[in-house]
Amino acid sequence: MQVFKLVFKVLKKNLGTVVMYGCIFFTTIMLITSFGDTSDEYTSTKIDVAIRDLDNTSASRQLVDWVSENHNIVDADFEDEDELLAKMYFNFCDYAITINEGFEEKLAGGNTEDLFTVSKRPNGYSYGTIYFESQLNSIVSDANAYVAGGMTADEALQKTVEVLNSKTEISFIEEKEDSAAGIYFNYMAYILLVMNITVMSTILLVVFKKDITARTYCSSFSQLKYILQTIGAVSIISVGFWVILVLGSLCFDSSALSSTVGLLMVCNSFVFLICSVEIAVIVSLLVKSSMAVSAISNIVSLGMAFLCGVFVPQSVLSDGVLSVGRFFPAYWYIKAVDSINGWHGSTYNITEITKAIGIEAFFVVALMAVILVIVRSKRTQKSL
Amino acid sequence: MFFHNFKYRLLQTVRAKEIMFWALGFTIILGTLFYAAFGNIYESEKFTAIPVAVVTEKEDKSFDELLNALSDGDGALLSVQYMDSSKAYEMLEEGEIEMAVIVDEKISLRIASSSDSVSVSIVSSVIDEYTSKAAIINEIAKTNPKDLDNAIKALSADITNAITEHKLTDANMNGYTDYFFNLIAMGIMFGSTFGLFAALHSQGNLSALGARRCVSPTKKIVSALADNLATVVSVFGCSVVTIVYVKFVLGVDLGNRFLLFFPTAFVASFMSVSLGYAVGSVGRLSDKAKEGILLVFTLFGGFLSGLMANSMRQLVEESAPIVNRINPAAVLTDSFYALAVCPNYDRYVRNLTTMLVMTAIFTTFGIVLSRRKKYASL
Amino acid sequence: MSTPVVKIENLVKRYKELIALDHFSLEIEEGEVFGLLGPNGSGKTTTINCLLSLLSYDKGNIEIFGSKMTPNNYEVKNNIGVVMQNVAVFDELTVYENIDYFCGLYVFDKAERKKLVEEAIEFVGLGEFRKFYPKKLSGGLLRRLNIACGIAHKPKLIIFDEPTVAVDPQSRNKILEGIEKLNKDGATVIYTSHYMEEVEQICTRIAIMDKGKCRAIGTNAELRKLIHNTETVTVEIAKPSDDDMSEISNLPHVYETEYSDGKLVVKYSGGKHNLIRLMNLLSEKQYSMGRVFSELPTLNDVFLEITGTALRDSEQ
Repeated sequence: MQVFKLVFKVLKKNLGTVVMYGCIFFTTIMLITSFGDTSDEYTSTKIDVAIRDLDNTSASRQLVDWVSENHNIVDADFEDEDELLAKMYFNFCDYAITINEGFEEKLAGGNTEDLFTVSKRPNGYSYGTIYFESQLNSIVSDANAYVAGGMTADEALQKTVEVLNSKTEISFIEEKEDSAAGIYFNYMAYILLVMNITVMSTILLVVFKKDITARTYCSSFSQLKYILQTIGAVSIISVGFWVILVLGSLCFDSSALSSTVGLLMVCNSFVFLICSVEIAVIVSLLVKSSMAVSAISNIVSLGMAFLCGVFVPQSVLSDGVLSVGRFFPAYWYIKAVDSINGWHGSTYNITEITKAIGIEAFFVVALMAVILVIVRSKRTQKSL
Repeated sequence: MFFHNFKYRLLQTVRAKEIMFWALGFTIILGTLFYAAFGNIYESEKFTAIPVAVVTEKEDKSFDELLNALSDGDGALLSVQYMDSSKAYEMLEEGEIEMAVIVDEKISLRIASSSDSVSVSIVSSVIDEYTSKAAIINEIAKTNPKDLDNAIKALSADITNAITEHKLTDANMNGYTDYFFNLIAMGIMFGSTFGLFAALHSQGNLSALGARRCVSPTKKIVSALADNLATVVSVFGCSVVTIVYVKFVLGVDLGNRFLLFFPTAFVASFMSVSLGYAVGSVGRLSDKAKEGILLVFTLFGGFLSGLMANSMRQLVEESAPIVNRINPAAVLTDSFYALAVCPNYDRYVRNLTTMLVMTAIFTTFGIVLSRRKKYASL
Repeated sequence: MSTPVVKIENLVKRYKELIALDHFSLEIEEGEVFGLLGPNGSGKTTTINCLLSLLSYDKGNIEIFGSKMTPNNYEVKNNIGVVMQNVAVFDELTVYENIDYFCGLYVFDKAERKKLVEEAIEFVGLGEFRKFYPKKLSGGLLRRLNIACGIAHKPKLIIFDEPTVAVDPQSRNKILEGIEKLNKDGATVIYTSHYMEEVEQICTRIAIMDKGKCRAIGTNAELRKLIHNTETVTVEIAKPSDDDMSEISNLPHVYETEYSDGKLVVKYSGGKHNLIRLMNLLSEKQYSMGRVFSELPTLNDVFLEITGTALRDSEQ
């Protein structure tokens, strides 16, 4: 167990750096998760609306009430257009609407011209805004009809809202527990990769230092044992990190780990953890300096994250990107996460989930083979 | 002497493959990945007919007519299949249809958790509109039948002019462009590592190389200036390549004022290098700790400014705006954003000023820390 | 004859265009201290690395203890100790931990290992430094640690690849004495160096390498016999006349005379009583003489004559 113990001694010496990275990445995942997108499950499309009522009559106030009941109201300063623009650009607000002065008066007179002034996102013709705009139009149209049918504008709007609120009943065909920790596990793919490569290779670079490897290879210590002990020790360290990460999910949902869904996620992330440890080992075997390691770690982790759908859902990625992504374990990790949570057009399907985790397990074996090939080929080299 | 120093520092940075990779190679690779990830996003919002199953429990002729009208022709909203409820639920579970419309006393929807929420909203609003119009006609027919004709006329009139649009900007881009602003900023922020090495190599108490240079007769201020200038030039060079790559190779729309990206990048290169130099001049920390600090500035700063999730900067703006004022990565990214998206220069000028102030602070800090010529210990 | 400890046959190693080893052959017997002598870049380290299966080679055959050397030949590896040119120790481990770690790659029994490590520490004289981290050690001590890591498991064949580079004379002597002691305790030693004196001092047999070839091989005395020069006499003296110079050149066995900087240098090939004859001649001519030296040829002369170049010291 010489090599095994060595890894821990090296870890002890580098504990400061390791803990620093650990904290950075832990903070990162906490932040991404708390601000990350929630799932797009149907809750009747609510859009984020900033609203300003210049008319301030009972008709206009009814409209404001309806908007605030059916959509999310965003606070915004209509005078500070830069700020409003920033809110829209960053998807904090989809639609800014001003109810113009004279709204009630015009409506009462059957005049539907120029009731609202609106601003939309630059290049932001999303379904949500189109939907909202059509709702506005139908409110105007319905109210107009009530007025034509002999009501006052105030009454007309009240009726319109009443009718509008008796909405189509929508029900789900299945019961589903939704784990808020899902998003956390989704981003864990990135964190596991970047953390394992950065942290583990800090340690592994020492173990794999050129002159020392040469000395080790000269010894009568079997190379297979050497690499297995190294991987074993590194895995134990990263399992430690992983346990902390997994427990971190409880911050978002205290029952996250007790459900089947939670257990599947834990299982999925464990298999992926092993993949990422192996990737870290490969990187450390191939790369000589710590600068190069941080370069590679970011390329590999961000690259996989973007190609495999960690930051941007797989359903949004083009087929070309996905067909490349398929060759990376993160793709299957995310596929499993999507299926476990029933996100992004996939459904909870235990066969699919097992298949995805199975393919990840296959990557574990394949990556191990790659490591052995590299070690074997490095033993006797063309040049040192 | 100045040019001698300048020339060799330039050669040194350009040949420092690993740092070059950061400032240039990495940004280009990541940019390409962003492009791959987001290039498809607009397309995914393009419309295809929504597959819907209709389960008729109670005949409603006028609703059927409405469905026929909506599923007719090229730009049809719906693609409708009639079937019984069990078949419909089965298809719903398989994800073959988005939802099932149940036509009974009332019209209702059955959906699966995988159903696309926008499609559900669209169909439900179609149904809503149908039911509300029916309700209006019923109501008026009951309460005020003499105005029924007027009401029906009003209902069928097209409302087109109720909404006037006030455009906040002429720029035609969405939030995803911010990833590219972040990317260019990240490349420049990595330049701080260049600055770090410039500092480490110039000071006797930090490296053997620095010690050697300290004993040379070149004035320290001259060599420091030459070093930093050469470093700025190489960082700026990298950012020019990145900007050109993003704009012309990837074809990302960077707005009409994109030429101003270059002077901005130049100022930012100064800021980033002086940051690295200042951190590098702190005597007590180990090299690893210094690299760690810069990593926090670049990657964690980048994360806060939206490198990994583009709305992060606005979120910070709304919860702790001070962070956005002092996070160099955010200030830099935001000035690109201001140039590309904002209709005026207010926000841009604010950001640019912040960068200049930061540069001044970092430079002063660096000079004060590195002024000493003798060291208590090496 | 017993099986040689090391047998290298026709070894060829190319780095692209550069031929590092050109049909190099060598046999080393048990109990020898074998010196590989040559300038930087002559192929010494390449030979060692091929020998250890760290480098692949293009042609040739290597046997150690009579069995073919391969990366998986752990039985052979178990009996080899290596002291590399570069210091290969962990900065993160103390002196004791370093030796224990490397020894542990060979010896799995804890108690036995403890004894071996203590012996190794004793052997290189690092007793008071056992808790030190390598960064705190001076250059010479670091070299000694490097050696201790290589020999702690008491190997039968020990390879030293330039262990004395950049080491002060005291530490160097200590290292050389240590190597002789290891040899006395029964280990066969391969020793590479570009320092003549070291090789002369400790090696029982020497191979001279240049440009990947073995130029000469033999004991110290054998090698000296290979060359023309047997003795060089130097006399501090006022400049002799040209006639006297030619008379000196005509003395028996003289092949070269030279005068510069107030010194007369006369080189002989063979013969006896050369010094007396020269002294007689010079006293006859009534020259007054300062100091007089007679030197036997050194390996440097051997090398100079065999390769036609002086030992290059800095090129790589």
